[in-house]
Amino acid sequence: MSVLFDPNRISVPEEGPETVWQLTARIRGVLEDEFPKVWVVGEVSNLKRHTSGHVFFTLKDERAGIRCVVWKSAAGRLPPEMADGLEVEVRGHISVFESQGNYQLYVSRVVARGVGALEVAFRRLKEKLQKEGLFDPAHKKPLPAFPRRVGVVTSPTGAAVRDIIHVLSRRWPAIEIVLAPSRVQGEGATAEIVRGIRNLNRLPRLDVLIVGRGGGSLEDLWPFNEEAVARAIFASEVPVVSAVGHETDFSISDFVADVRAPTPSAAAEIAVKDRREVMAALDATRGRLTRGLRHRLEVMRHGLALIEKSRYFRHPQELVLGGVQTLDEVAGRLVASVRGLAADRRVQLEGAASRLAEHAPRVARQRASGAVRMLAFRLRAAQRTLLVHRWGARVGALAERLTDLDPDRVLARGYSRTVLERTGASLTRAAAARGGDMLRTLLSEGEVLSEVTATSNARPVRAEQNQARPGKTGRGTPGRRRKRRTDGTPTLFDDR
Amino acid sequence: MPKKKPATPKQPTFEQRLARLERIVEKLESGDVGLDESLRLYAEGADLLKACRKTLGEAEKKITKLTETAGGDLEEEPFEPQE
Repeated sequence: MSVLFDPNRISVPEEGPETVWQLTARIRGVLEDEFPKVWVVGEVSNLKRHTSGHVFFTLKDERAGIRCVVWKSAAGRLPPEMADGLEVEVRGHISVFESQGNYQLYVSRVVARGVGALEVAFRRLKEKLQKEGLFDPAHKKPLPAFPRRVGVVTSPTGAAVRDIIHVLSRRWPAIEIVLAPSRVQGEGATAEIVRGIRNLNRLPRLDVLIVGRGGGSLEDLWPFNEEAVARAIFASEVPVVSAVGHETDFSISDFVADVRAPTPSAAAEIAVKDRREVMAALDATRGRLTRGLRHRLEVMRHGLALIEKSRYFRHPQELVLGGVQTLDEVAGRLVASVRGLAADRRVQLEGAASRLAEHAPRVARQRASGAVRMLAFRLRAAQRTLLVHRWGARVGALAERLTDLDPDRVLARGYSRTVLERTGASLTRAAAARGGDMLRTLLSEGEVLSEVTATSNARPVRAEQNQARPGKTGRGTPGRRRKRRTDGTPTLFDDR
Repeated sequence: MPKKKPATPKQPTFEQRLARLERIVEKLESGDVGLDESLRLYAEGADLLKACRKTLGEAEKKITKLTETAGGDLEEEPFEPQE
């Protein structure tokens, strides 16, 4: 390396140490002489436009970086697309920023070259992992609805961890948080992030994992674009929420994770529910529970009321009386039909006898009349047998089946028939009686004469053990006799 | 994994309780249950509601930091974020 010796510029100390300024000045001289004109290609990063008008950035490649200064005068000529990640060619000269003790590239010209190296790397890795299927929605796990333990991989200092803890605690005060502290930029960050994810996966009962950091440049966020981190997230058995940078920053971690959050605070909101909302939902459920029960009870009560209202429930004696009436009718018809039958036969017989008498002599007539008498006797006997056998059996059966309807039995159970003396008719409605009326009540044994003092239209007391069926509305219990019509009155001519 | 009935000896999770509660309410609202069962379900629902609200009322947060020992074991220490 040639050094131009300019005695005016460099003052070599005669004895003792030189000052920092002296040393720096010497270094400056060397650099300025050696690098008066440089032309270098690299990627823009950490671009900052000062309010003074000067622009600062770092020009870098994979292994090295150099600070660049663009004075206001030259800043106007910067390419408009000047931004982090942009690949550029820079012309200028090297000098030293004395107070900081670093060398800088003082820029005279910047020419945009294309996309920066980091961006290229990003795109390449994204394509590669996408092809492998790491971003596939099928691999994404659902987050637990009510996690009890949340793991966090981020820097132990800084706003991100504070925000995450704050939001988690606010939404679910009883939440357990385990932090795996790690660097989130620069050298070594990738390894620490990977280790954090793996270690948290080793913990029992960890329900969800948040991985991320606050905002920064592409360079700052780079660890979250590393393949190792992506694979660690993919391999995580615990669901992962990725929260890297700001809303507009998309990192490879975001694509691999089970859920992407735009910011660390948003990640906390995604991870746990707000217990106030859950509380409100529980209140609503409590309302539904009570209303549900009340509704069930109402339905049953309503059904019961319908049963109570039904005719036979309120006037079970009607069921009986109906049967009694039918019995009377049937008995009458029975008698009439038997009489009719007998009459028919007698007519036939007499017809035959008279015809016989016309044609036969006295003896024959006598014999015939004797025979006729015999026949008549036998007929009558047959009639009786007929009655007894055919009808008797039926009546016997009927009588059996109608025992419950026997008015005497009804009376024996406590029902009574009340007759209004004034009219002589049965009293069925309270309204038909007036104060002072005489009533004759026929009981199971004997009768009672009474005088009406008051009437009311209140419902009668329910009969305890009646056979009165609810009729049209009730369903009836299985096992009872099935010989009743649907309205409850018994049918006497059922064959069973 | 969420079970319908918390009849196992292990404590049901908040999520399991919530799921069972939802089913109970649906049953009561659907009307397929008799009187005895309705009352029984209501009682169970009320208990579940109480348990859920108790969980929501808990406020003890616990924040720890994970460290790895030389042997590779994991330990948890209390952690306080810097303000």
